[in-house]
Amino acid sequence: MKINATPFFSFKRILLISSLFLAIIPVSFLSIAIGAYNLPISDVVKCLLNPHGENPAIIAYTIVWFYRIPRTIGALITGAVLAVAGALIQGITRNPLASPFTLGVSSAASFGAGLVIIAGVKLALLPQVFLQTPEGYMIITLAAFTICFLHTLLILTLLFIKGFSPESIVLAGIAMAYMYSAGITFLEYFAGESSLKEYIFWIMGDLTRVNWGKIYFLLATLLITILAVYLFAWDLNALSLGDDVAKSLGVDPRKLRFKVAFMASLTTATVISITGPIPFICIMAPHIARLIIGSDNRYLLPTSIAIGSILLTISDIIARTALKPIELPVGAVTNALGASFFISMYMSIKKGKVMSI
Amino acid sequence: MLKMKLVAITVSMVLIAIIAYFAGYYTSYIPMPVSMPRPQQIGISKFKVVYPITIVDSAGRNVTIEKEPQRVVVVSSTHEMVLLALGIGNRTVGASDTVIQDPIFMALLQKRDIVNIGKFSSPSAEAIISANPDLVIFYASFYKRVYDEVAAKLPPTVKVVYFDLYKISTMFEEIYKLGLIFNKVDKALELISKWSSRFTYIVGKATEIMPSSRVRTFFEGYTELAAAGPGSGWHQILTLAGGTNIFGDIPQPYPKISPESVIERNPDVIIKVTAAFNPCVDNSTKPLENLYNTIISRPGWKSISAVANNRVYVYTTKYLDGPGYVIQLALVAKLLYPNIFKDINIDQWILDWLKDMGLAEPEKVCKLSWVYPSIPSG
Repeated sequence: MKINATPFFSFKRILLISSLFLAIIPVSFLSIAIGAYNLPISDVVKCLLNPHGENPAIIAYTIVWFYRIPRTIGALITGAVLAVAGALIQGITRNPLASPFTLGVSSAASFGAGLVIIAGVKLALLPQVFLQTPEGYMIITLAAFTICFLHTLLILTLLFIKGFSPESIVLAGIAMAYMYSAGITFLEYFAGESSLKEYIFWIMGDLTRVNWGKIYFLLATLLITILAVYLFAWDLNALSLGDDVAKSLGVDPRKLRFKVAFMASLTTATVISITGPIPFICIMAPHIARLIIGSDNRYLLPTSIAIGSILLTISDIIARTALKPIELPVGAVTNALGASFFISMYMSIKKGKVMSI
Repeated sequence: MLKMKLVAITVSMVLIAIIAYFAGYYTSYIPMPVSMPRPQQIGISKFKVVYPITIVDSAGRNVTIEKEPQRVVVVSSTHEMVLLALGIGNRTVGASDTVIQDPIFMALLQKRDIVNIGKFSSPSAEAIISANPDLVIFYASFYKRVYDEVAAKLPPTVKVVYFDLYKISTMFEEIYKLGLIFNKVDKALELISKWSSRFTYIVGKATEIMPSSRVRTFFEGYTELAAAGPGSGWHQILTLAGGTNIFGDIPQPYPKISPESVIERNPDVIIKVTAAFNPCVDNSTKPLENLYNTIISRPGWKSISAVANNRVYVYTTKYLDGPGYVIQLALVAKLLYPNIFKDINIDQWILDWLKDMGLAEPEKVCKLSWVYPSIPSG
């Protein structure tokens, strides 16, 4: 691993990264232009140029500004946050298959949502009808986030007890994930038919749930993510050389792992509490980024942002249009993409080079 | 004598099957008056079943019933409602949690020692055996494999029959067969004649509606934005009631559809169903109102003609299974064509059905409406 051999402002890399970020623009436009409602491109452009349209009652305006734009922004931000969180966790664990989901964040969110959708209804704390209203959905989001947050604190405590080694991070995460999956199985078994369906829709991950109100939360998460990129890129490079080297470079591996695990879990938790768990983006995007730009975290993390955004937005376009007017949950598409990506990666392994960090 | 009875029974069974099957296709059907006088209650049964009898259940199995079953286990509330309507609810010794947790059923069954056999989709064989039944009733085309496995574990003395009771094509025939099994043929025929004549009345009127004036409808299932596509019971109801399903071209029963596509297809009426509201137990229709408001406030839906013309309705399917299916059909027909079906009093039909089930004064128990907002009077 030659980190310091290349100067920071490598022209080729900067060009690559900026072209990736530029690619977000056509992808977003595509996402806004295509959907179940057939809109002529000219109408879409007209609506886009007129954020405060003369006549908001026009259907095209509503479709563009209330369905497609929030959804596209949601996909872009969610993809970016998940991808960076994945790259960060892969960096601190030095494990190419680790992700915030390995830390049990998605299981915790699913469990939190299940508590409301299934147990809340079962124990008659909430009427089931209420969950289909926007306020009801907010409660599911809050529960998912609360459980995720508690989970993050718990897992950090576990790590504090056993030391912040890469192995302990993965093991603690997997152990906790098993615990939640036990809880989820239990909940699912006792769920009524319609709550079960509601719940399964939730855990498949879906970007329909993003609306303007939720975009502020997503934006805040994106800012934290960018801050994390800025703060941790260099330290993670040092860590990738081994704990001893990192220490000699003035980076405390324990503290770094604590901070990164906390930040990555929290950003992931916020995002998936809103959308539901969307699998594979946080593993797939950093890998693609690594293939393109190499392992230097100063480049890898920004590239992950671009790749994650593009990947999730394209997945969402496929989910919305493949079978229109039926909408697939975006999780189904990312699952399929992820699986085929990993099989192709596995087939192309040469001396274990591809999967190395 | 026995032969004659068997002949009479077979002939009437075939007749009922034919009527039920072809009811939807009659076009030149002359409507029957709806407010029929109730059949005279006579003390002595006209039909007495002589056991053993062999019937063919809806899974195509030959089942021989040796004697009148006294201890029954049912797997769903639909089956329980039909048993109640046949006047043999008190023979229930085991039921799924949907029955056990319903206060109205428990009040009607008037006992607390009914064994909970678990969820209808995964009933416990041990719990069923512990209820010591002589007959178990399962669904015929719903979770059949699960029930086969459970049935294989039951001792041979326990008879098992498979009846759906939720499909209009087989429902009346199944009620008749249940009447035979339980020696309640009179009651079964009374139930069948009442609800099948109402069914044919609605369908007969609906078939006269011109294809060009059929109301284009978006029917949303229990989960959010799940369209009732072909293969679902509500698609069938909608079609029989003379409506056009705007998602009738989708090859799936309950797909989640894009809200944009509803705007594009612009339905004249939107109907949403829920099972999570019980007019006999809940305190207010707030849950239905909440759902209604959620639907009309979806972005851009104001431009849909159903929303613009205030033709969005939410109704609960509570207790509207089995023969209650006919009430759902009538309700949807009335929501689509208030003028054509103005002679039908849905509230009265619901009370009638609750009375059939044995609820003494349903109007005092079930005070809330099944529909929000109220049904247009036409």
